[in-house]
Amino acid sequence: MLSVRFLLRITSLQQPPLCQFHKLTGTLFCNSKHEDPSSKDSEGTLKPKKNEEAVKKLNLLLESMAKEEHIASSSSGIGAQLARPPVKLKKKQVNIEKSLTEATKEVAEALGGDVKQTESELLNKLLAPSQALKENDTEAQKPFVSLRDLISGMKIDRNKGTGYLSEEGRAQRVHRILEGRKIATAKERELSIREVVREQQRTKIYDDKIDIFGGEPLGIFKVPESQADTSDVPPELTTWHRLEARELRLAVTHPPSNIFEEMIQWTEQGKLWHFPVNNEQGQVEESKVYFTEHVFLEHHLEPWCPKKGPVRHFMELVCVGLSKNPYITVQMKLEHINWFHNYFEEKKQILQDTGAIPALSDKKETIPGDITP
Amino acid sequence: MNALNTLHVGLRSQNRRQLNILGVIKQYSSTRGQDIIIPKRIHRSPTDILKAFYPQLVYDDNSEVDEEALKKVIDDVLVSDAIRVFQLLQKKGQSISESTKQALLELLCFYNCEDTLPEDMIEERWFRHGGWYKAKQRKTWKDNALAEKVFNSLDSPGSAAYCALLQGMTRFYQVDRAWKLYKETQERGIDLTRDAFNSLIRVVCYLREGNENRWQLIQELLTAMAKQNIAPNIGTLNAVLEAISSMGPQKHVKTYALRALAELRHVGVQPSLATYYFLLITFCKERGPVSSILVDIMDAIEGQTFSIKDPKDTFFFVTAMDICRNHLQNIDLAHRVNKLLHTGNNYDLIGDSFKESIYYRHYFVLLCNMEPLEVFMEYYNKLVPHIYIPEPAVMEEVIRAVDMNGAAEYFPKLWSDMVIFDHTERVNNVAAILSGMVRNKPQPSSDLTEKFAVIAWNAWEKLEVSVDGEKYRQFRWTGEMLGDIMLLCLRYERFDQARRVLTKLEKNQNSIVGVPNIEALQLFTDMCISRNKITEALECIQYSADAGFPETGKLAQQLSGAVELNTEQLMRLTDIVGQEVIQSPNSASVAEQ
Repeated sequence: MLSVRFLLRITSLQQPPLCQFHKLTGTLFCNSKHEDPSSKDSEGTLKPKKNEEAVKKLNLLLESMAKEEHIASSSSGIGAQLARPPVKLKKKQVNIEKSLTEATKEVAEALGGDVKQTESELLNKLLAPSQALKENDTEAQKPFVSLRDLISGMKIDRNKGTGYLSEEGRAQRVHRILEGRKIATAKERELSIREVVREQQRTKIYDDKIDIFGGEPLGIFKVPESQADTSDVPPELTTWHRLEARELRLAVTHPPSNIFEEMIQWTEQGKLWHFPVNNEQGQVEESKVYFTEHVFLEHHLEPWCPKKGPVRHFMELVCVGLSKNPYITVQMKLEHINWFHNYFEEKKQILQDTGAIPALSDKKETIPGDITP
Repeated sequence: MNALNTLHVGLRSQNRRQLNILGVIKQYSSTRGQDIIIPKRIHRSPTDILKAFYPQLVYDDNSEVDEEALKKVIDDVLVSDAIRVFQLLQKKGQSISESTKQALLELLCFYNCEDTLPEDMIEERWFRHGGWYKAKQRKTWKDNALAEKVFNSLDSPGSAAYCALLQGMTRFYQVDRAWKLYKETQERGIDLTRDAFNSLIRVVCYLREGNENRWQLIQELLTAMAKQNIAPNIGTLNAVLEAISSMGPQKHVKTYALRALAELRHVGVQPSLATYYFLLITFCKERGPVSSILVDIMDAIEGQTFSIKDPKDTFFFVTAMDICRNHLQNIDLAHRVNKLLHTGNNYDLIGDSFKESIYYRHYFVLLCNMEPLEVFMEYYNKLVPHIYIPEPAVMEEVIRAVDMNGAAEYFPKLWSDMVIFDHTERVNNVAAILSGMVRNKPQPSSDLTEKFAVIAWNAWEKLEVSVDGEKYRQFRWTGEMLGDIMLLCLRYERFDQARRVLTKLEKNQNSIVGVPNIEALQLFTDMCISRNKITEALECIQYSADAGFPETGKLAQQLSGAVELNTEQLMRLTDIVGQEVIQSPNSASVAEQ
């Protein structure tokens, strides 16, 4: 990262003259596939002495690069022709760039002329990975074939294959920024280098924009004109749907992040009473029963209880007590009353003997010994 | 004294025909503090407690059970209890209605006759690591287990029963028999539900070989669906895309995916996040061409809020961040994805803690590599350790980034984090931080020198103990690390500590790989000279000679020139470096040992 910035700082943003460098490379290496550069060259104004020194230094530089490449590739332990994930490539680039920058500085100074320009050229040449030319490469990049092939021979594990779309390292982006001329230079637009790089990235990505909704429909389904068309739907599996919904719900339930969320979850799970406190929470059956049924119980005495007498008195007290009892259901209250009813039925003989209830035959007469007030 | 108590007391005293004037006044006085009063709930009967606290019913051989109990157990999703109740009912010979049997069949098919994690175990579900999802791609359906027995015991298995069994089999990857079942339904003319079709489409890749055959089968199933007049839903779309995503890296596969998406959108199905997840894994394969489909997807869904519609929705964010980091290396896209994650309630769709940590790991490494250090450290302070704890490898990247940027002031924080997260056993990390501290020598005015020395000694102590203590740990000191520790101690003038390190270096020369930086030895010798510790200086020079440093001679000259040596020391020095070196203190050539 740092070295890329460093590289950008030291390189100028003008188009570096390439012909000088080509002359050098033409004389140095013979396995290049390019045409004779001397035919293209028009500025052969280098001094022979400086040329030789520069040549020597270049040799050393490229040898060192080759060595580093060999070391890098042999350290992998496996063959060098395997494709590698792009992240590792970058690291190698970073490592190489540091030592290269120093070496290129020396070479450029030896060459003379515009030091910075030659430096930038050298670095661009050396760092450009070997790739097949892309169709949208500009014209200016064609003369670079020679050195690229040369370096491709040395950087043995940079083969990404022609099938791949551009997998650019940072150096390639730098290369394009300086050579591609697709956008105005950073200075002119007063952008930082980072933003320039990012814009390049964006244009690169949008080159193959895919319209995700633009496929051609298969024509299998017809658009339903109305909802009623989907008739004859077979019975859906209710339990299955319920279980699926449960799974989905649990997939998004996160552990509570504070006490309030925890209380919410507990309330939903039924572990905490609802707030505001409702004393009748959960009493579904009871809410259906109107309060008069709890309070007005005398009419249950109508069928069997005598209108006067100790029994009536007692039963009325029972009714009063039951009406004040909020804890039991109406059913239980009726059971209480019925129990008394049964009890008095069983003990009818004793009651009649003592005169507590009027005998059936003497119902309308008042009985002596009647102690009702 | 809260208000309710006073009121209560007031009422009671009223019943007793007394009036608690004071209590009433207290209740209505405005200077009383505002307490939050939670009234106690009056329990009306012993059974008037929350249903959740009822004791759990255990069904054993003697339990009295009826169909109602079975229904209740199915509702509460207690699979093993349901099995037991069902078996009890069968043993007693009681008849069970068809609908209950159907419900039981669906339950057993959904869970493959196994118990599932109870609903209120939220933390367990959250920390249940994601490996289980991938592991279940193999066939786990229990053949001839209770589910099939229930199916067979149905009097007339209708469409619902067939669908339930079919869906269960495909859910647990018993694809052959599921296909046979499908064929049976076709022969008998039984209609299938939408979900049954969806589940069949999902396992198409196991049913056929070859992408053309698979695509053809998908189309056949969709046509069968259309013939039955079933409108497809999001489940259909996701099933089709899931099948396509496991097809392999051919060019046509991408067109299939887009066409399927267009078809179902045409019918009115809205895509969910799972749809986009499957698109991503179809287009951005690891060993395939780079695809920037994530950009288009982000354009389509930016700013929207999502709710969960498919179990695989939770995979989207992790995969998107993975692609940003590994496939595209684009930090802007990562920021967009992160922003989408934080809009509305989308954070619910992060899945479980495993996915969250992977998501943040990718984001973190991308930030570390792409953003300037100050911005990155903001993110670091925000995320670590509350939301994300970096793995040792990630920590190493961070250390290297800090090292490269020369921001030495972050080293103490990084070291303390390393100690907390227990990364101190890893050689790479410790070596990286030590060399970083050595390289980025702090200003004398700051207190960083002291901190660095403390850190170095801390590292020494931790790792020395572990080396002696546990033999199975593979930690091995390297010379560079020991040299770095020495150097940092010496910069803060901790002579004794440095001496101890040197002693260790000397003693274990054969077992320690590598040699320290000559700067360390140089500084040590200087300090020995300044403190007049000749023996230590001689030991240092001895070690330097053994290690084969060419600067040994220079050190010896320095020593002999600066300090007065007695005969014994002089003899020893001569033994080490040779006579000429000492006697010609100004020679430019260095004696090569």
